[in-house]
Amino acid sequence: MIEFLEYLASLGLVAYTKFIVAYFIFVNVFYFTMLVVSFGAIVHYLRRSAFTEHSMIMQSEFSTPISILAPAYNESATCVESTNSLLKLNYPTAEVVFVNDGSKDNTLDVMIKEFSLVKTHRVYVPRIATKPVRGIYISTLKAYKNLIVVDKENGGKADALNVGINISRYPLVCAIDADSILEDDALLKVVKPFLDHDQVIAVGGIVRIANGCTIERGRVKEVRLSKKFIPSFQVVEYFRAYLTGRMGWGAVNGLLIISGAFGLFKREIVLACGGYKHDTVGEDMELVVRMHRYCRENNIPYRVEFVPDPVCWTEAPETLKILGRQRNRWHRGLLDTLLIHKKMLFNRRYGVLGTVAVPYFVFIEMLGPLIEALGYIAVIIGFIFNMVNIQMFILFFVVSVIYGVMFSIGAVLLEEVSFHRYPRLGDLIKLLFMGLLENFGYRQITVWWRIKGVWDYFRGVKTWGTMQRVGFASSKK
Amino acid sequence: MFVLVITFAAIFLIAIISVGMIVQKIRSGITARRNEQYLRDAQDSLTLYLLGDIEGDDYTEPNGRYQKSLASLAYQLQTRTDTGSMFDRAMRRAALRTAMLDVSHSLSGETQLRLNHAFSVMGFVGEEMTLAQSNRWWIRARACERLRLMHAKEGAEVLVKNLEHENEDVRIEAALSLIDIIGLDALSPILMTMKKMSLWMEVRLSRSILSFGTDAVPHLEQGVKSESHSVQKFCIEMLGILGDVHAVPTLIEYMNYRVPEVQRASLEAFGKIGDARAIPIILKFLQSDDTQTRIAAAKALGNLGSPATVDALNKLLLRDSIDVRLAAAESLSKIGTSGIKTLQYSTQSDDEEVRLVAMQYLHEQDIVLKGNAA
Repeated sequence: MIEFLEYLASLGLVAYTKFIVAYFIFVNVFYFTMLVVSFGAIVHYLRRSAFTEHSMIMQSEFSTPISILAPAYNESATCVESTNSLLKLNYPTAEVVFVNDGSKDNTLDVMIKEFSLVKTHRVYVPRIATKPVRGIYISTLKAYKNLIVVDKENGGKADALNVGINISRYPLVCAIDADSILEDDALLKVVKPFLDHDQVIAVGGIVRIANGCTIERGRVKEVRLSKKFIPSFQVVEYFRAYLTGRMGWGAVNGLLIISGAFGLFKREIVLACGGYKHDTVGEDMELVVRMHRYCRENNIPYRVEFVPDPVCWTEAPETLKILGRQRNRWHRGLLDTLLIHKKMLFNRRYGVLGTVAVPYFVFIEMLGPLIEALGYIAVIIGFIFNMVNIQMFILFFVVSVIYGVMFSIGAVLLEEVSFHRYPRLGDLIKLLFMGLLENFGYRQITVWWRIKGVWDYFRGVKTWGTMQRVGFASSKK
Repeated sequence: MFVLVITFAAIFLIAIISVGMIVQKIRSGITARRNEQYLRDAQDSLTLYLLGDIEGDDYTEPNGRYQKSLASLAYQLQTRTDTGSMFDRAMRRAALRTAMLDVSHSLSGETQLRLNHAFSVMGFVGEEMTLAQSNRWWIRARACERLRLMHAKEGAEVLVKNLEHENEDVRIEAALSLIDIIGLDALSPILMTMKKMSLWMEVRLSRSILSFGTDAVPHLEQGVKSESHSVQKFCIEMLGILGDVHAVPTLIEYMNYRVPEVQRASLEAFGKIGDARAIPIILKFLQSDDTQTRIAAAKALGNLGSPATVDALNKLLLRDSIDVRLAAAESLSKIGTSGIKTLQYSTQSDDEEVRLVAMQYLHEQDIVLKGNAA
């Protein structure tokens, strides 16, 4: 019996080993291709940037007006500062639509008092169905004429954004997170693709990690790497995700994710698609995929672009517990979106999306952690039954680490040749070191969080999980 | 064996890239300091050239005293860059070009002429004219931009060729340079050459055209006759921004031959120019089948502010879709007493949507008035 089990295990192990090696080669070839495509795209972007003076957009009557949507729930402590910060962004014509999503604290009272708001009789046209709106407020002060505050019943972030889209007056809508820190010229930078091509329907901006940076009056004043390990690992991860991932996908019009922290959309298309979906934790990705799908299905020529200039900063989790919750939620969002739009998988009607982007997200991003975890289990079984060729195992492990390091270093290289926002030599050396170190423990633990995300998804968990943040005040000098 | 080779190649690559990045980071600081020194030297030389004493004052006379004296100063400038090793000379020359380009937009009169002379004598204009024919678009675009900063009239021919280049940045830089070097006379041919204009191109060109003020109007009127809808739209928008009433007949003349997008731009321009001659044609477009065109017409009437249009706007408020109603009510709120009275009357309407729309604008205007009074 034991011999039979050993025989079965050896058969399974050999088959799985072959599969893993093939998968490993495929994934790394794919990543390498993405790195090359992203490099080309960044070089092209930098060449074009040399002829782009953003101040010209600021002074021009031809710039497209933007509505900035700021959803808020229980933000009484920070709402005034963040609203002021949005009102001061450099852009010729912009309005800020602050949506109080049924806060239980006194967010609305604070806003009314600080900005001298009065309730108006403004007509609310629910082009996208939302929870009821309780009131729309505008300021009696000229200085805040571009501020609209909406009070509504609690319905979650997606619902609050939909209310903002309904209320907004301008052709472009910018969705941001309450805790996003935007660069002064963030809007000027992300609007550029819309000015370049009238077919652009959405633009994503790069989100960077603010932990360790000096923040003053809602702006990043000095860029530094955090002294802590967990945020520093995430800096390298974000470089990989944005500079080699999204940049490459943007170049082939296959970008499926625009971060909820900062994205600019054509309002007309968002309305036609029905706005953000309420019952998913990955509403940002889901909307972008739906916009792609809408345009493809209606034969509308379109582009979804990515701007690699540093435009938005966010606070990354500093503890494993909070980071685990975030990654769990991201993976559930990914899974949900891919299952909602499973029709697109290998469907040539959706062009590069159906044939490359969606399969990549299904087989590499979604199933990757499961395949990697099964690999670890197979190794353990192999050791138990004494079937592991130690030399081959060590070789495979070393090769996988080296390729992991290579892509991380490639992402750091892209940052260095393009925007080099980390001016200190020490920070650069630390980033290179993090690219090596993340392969021993950190990578494995993220795999576990993502597997748990799959498990939670099929258990029906739909919550966001509490995201405790340290706050930017701690990073002030 | 193959895996091992690939792995060692990857390790080698990682090591090279990592060390390369670190070395580059250290080197960039040193290079920046050295370049600063070259630039300071170049700025000193340029100051001596631009402010140097010169004999004679008739700079139009060929081989006159002025020209000879200027040639002597230029020779001194040239010799200052001609010292040291080959690397040194190249660096000095590049730094001098940077220093000259940096000041080119802030000079005028005789000093500007001296600078232009230096650009030619140093061979910078010739170099840029060659680069403006490069196969690489970014080199072409940069060369076109520099020819503008050098005010190089001799570069006009190569710039005209670049107006039809496939890359938009090249076309933009060439167009801007031609307008800058030749003046407004270049505008009509440029607009007629353009096949499609992006918003970015509009942003760039508008800034340059606006600097000529209403002198640009006849040229923009020519541009309205272009076959390209985007060029038509741009010219109409520019005419609206310039606000010259002389453009109104041209805009009216072409209203019936255009696509809705261009018609909307014309309606907006009528609102900005504020000429009552446009009212009959705007009223006609209130009947358009296109919702966005009706909205644009309603908004134009609001900007014109004529009480004669109140009835037409009131009809829209009572009978049209919500978006058009909102535009009509907003316009009525801008047309003084008769508009406000119409809105007040509409608050008694049986139609709830009409009531709400009218109340919105009456209330918001009240808030604005109170705010202004405060």
